[in-house]
Amino acid sequence: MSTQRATRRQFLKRTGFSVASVSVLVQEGRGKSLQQYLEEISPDLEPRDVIAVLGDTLIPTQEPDYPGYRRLEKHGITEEVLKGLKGVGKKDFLTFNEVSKDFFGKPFMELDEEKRADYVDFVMGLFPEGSFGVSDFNALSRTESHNRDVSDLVESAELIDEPKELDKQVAMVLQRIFKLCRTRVLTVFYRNFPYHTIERDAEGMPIPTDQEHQIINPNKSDIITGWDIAKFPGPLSWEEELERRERFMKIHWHGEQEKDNIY
Amino acid sequence: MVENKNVGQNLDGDTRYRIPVIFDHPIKEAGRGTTGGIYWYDDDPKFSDGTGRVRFADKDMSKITYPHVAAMSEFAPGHGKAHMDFMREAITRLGAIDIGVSKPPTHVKGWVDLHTGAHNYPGDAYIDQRMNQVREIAIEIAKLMKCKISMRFPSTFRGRGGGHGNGTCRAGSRPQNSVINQDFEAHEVQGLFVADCSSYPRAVSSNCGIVGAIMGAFAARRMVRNYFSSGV
Repeated sequence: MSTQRATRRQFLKRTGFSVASVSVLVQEGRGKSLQQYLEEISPDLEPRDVIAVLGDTLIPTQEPDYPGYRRLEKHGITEEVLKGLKGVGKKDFLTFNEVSKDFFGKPFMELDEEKRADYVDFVMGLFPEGSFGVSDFNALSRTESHNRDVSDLVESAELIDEPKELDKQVAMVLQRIFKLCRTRVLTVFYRNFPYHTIERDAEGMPIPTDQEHQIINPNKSDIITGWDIAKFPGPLSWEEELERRERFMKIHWHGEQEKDNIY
Repeated sequence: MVENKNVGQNLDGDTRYRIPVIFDHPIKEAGRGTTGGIYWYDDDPKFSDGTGRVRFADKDMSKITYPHVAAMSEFAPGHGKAHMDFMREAITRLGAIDIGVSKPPTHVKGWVDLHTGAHNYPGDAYIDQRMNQVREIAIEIAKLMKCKISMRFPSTFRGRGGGHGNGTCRAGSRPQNSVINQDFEAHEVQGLFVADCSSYPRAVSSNCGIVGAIMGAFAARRMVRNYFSSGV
């Protein structure tokens, strides 16, 4: 029987600046069982609903600095995310939603934005240390919303709570849902949804964005996408091609040997 | 029907691992780059034939890092605004140091399952030891480059090697331990030639594409010499 105990200090250490006041003891056969959670879940809830809220938590939206996931709902981002999660059981999604009630007072879907982030931090704390990167505090301090002194929060926190218990099987469901959804949400978003595919004509032929030079760039300027946030420019423009061609032709790769080059 | 039990056996090849790194500042242009890179080798002085040779490569430092790949980096925060802040420069700061044993000891051989095509490679304590030695050097390189390096590392590489594979239809003088002769012709079937990466018997310390092409060029010359140059 394996046991994983996370103290509040470890939890805070793992989750960076979170102040979620939860410590948890993960153990097989302790806490509420997976079956008990399944009996309590609301059958009306759909995986789509959970993914939409989880996506908003993973990539939050706060205009204008944080153009996140929620903005792309009207373009169908959750439906796109769902395409890659067809093999995941509905019960797992609903269990993920329900477990939150025992640790944060409400199901995940009913939590406010801050508590949802705390719940996600809580689930991340179930993974081995080092599974996720820590926040870049220097970068964060540049933004007002995160401009707080993390070390103070950690030091002032009460060290140990009486840990709540979490059944190992339930913990595995939480890990599975989080890992799969995080991978899929981040992948879809940063693959430039909704401009992740090239436009084609009625015969299925790609429509170049620069017809004369046959350059195809699926990105457009009317929506801020994952590529825009990451400053990924897409394929070379014609002007860039010309500039690079000129630059590289001036490089003498082989020195004296070039005179023998018949080309 | 003839059968040579050596077909699919004697798989040789490299064992590699990619250690992610991240720099504090941009090291490359966003979305621009080349698949080329810098690499070099280090030999084990105990062997004179290159056994234990390891390779370092500057994987991804000059290559394009795509946003959806950066988003899943182990250096990326789990979620939230911190993750988006990370993403604003991530594709210009991420890279990797690729390490690998490119010439394993001769006694370490794997095999290909002829029904499924799956590679099976046993690995070896010596390969594990060399990979750990190389990792220490990679950590030193990362310190000199002033970048953060991933501390994740497999406890063993058993079962993970045999990449850039060769040797599964290897050439040799004896049918007992080889499939083709020095002229690339099968021992048992006249006129059946095998000329690709499976033909050469020992890992060559590099990617195998160009060596496969060389096999084709040599095989063509020997076919011409043996079958078409006798005045017929």
